[in-house]
Amino acid sequence: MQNNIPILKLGDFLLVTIQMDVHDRTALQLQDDLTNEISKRRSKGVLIDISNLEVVDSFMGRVLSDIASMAKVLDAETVVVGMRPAVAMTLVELGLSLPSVVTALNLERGMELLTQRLGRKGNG
Amino acid sequence: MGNEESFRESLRLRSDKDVSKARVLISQWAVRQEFSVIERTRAMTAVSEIARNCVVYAGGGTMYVSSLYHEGAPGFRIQIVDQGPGIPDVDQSMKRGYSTGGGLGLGMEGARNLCRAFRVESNAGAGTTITMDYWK
Repeated sequence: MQNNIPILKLGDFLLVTIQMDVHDRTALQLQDDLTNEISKRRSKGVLIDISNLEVVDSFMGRVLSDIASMAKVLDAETVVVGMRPAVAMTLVELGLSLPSVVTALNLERGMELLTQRLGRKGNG
Repeated sequence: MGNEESFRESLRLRSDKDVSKARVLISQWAVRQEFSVIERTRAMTAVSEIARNCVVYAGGGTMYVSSLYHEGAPGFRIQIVDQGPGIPDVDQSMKRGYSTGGGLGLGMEGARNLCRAFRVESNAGAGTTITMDYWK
């Protein structure tokens, strides 16, 4: 049994760093934990760092898009950061385009993007 | 074929933990044979799809990995064998969007795009064998 994936608080955002390999059940657990945490902490943004993750298959792709959709319903934005180039290529070859998932090159860009999106939302 | 010593490994597939082990095993094969990062990622992803199908739809099975030579190029063959219900219509199952269980329906067709050669042998009621070949 893998340990649950830790969820860290980073200012107004939540930060999740996914490790090299994740069991399916651990990924589903993250989905539950993250929705609870968003609601508990009233977070407006979630950053998911997948720079250590070697494989995003259709299951993991679905988990990432479900997380983004659930966060949206709870009024939070999700940005997936740090996807490896080989993972990006494989995703496309697999036929997975993850339309509902917003991505950024790295954590820094992801933070900028979230801040921007939330600022725009606040003004609008 | 035949002049090099062949090497074979097997792995029981019964849970999501085994699907993870399957990815790691294929990663080791790809590293040992000095595959590029993208080829290694393709192989790990294809195996992840097919091994999961085996656990979820067929109640488990076995994965075999063996070395192969394709026109002199080194590589490996992955076979995932189950005794499950079989795939009633293999052609249909290869089409995008086909799914019997809540997934994105990309599993089989997606995996086929990620390997050099892909073969499905299935008979209703007699299980399924999926073969995926990789070479450099």
